[in-house]
Amino acid sequence: MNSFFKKKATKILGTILVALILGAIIAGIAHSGSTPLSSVAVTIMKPFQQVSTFIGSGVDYFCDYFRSSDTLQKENAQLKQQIADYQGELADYENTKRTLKTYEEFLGVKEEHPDFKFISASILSRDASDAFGSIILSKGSSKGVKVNDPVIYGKNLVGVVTDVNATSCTVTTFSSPKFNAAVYEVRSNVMGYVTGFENGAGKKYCKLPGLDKDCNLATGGVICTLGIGGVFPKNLIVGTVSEINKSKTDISNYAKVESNVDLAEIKDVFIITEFNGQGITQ
Amino acid sequence: MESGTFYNENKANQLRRIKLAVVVFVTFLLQNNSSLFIRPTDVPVMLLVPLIVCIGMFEREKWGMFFGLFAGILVDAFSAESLCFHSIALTCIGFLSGLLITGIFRNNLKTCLLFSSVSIFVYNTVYFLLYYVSAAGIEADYIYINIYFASVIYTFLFVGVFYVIVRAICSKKKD
Repeated sequence: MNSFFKKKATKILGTILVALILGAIIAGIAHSGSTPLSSVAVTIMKPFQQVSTFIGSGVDYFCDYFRSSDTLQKENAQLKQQIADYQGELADYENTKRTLKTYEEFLGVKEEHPDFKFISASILSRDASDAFGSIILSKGSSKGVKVNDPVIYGKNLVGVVTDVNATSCTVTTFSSPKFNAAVYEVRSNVMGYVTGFENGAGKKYCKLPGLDKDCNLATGGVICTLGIGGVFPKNLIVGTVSEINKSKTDISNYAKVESNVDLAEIKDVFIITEFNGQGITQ
Repeated sequence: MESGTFYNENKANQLRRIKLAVVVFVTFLLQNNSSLFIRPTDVPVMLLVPLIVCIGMFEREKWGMFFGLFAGILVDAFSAESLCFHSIALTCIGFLSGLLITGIFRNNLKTCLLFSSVSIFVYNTVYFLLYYVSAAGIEADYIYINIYFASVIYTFLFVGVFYVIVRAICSKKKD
């Protein structure tokens, strides 16, 4: 037994074990989880480990060619189902995001106009036969909608209800020549009315005709509803002045007003069923 | 003449040990990279244990201990929470394999199989007891049997391969 402990190899073993245990104690005290020797080994070995991982990925890729077609078919079907599920979730997410945006704008309007009573409605369809972009909404008289109720998108005017039945209603939009609303420009206070272009300038535009040649209206001016007539509340945004041109039928000018609302893109709107001054002609 | 012979023998020893170090290194990479070595049902395989046993048997206790230390440092470096366990265990395995061959057993495949099976079993069991038994709780027996004991059996299948490789490298060694 004594000869065993006297052997050189045994002494070396004892030294190594003491050193390793000391390293472990140091790592434990330092809470680093690794001994100094391990840290050095990681530094030296890291490139080799990366190379072996790279080679391993290559081997995996190569081996995939030999997997049975049955396995691949099942995996393919599973992945397709996953994609379909994710697409459904994505569509839900986009719808929710859009609805949230609409309600955020609605909240802003409600805070500014506490007297407004709204109901939300989604666009069921667009009247394909109407070149001026009439829309059909999902709410009707059963929900309190009536003819001449204004329709808004956020703070922007979309149109007015012109036809109602129990579960839906038709809205004539601002781009229709049948539409009329008394408006003013917020900076220059120029007053007038907006209506749609007869020649269908596009579903984002309406015109403000009958302007004097020397009026103060300039491009970029914001056009809002005037609030007289009892149909539209005051200060709903109609659009901004994009051009001022000479009228072809008389000596006045007209302003081309571009709406912030793209009628082709919106999916949900709000119908104002009640507001202070509704039905009262000033 | 004598010094020349001594010089050639020393050089041959160094070359042999370099070859063994490379084998240890490559085995470590195979053990650590699951894509480079087949693992049924993701059972871990401790290839370095039988390799160090074989090296200890051929190189005896001193160099068996050094190779065990080298292999243990490699495993510890890339191990999450072992804190020198692999270094200590593989150093002792290398030393004891060499010591037993020097004093008691013959160097042959049967002895290698015996040493390796005991070493792998003790190695895995002690590791499990130290690092997993308290964390595993009531599932400890399931984890031990399905992972660590299964690893013992799977690793044992490769003992013969390492014995052949190490014997081929050490065949020209003069005692």
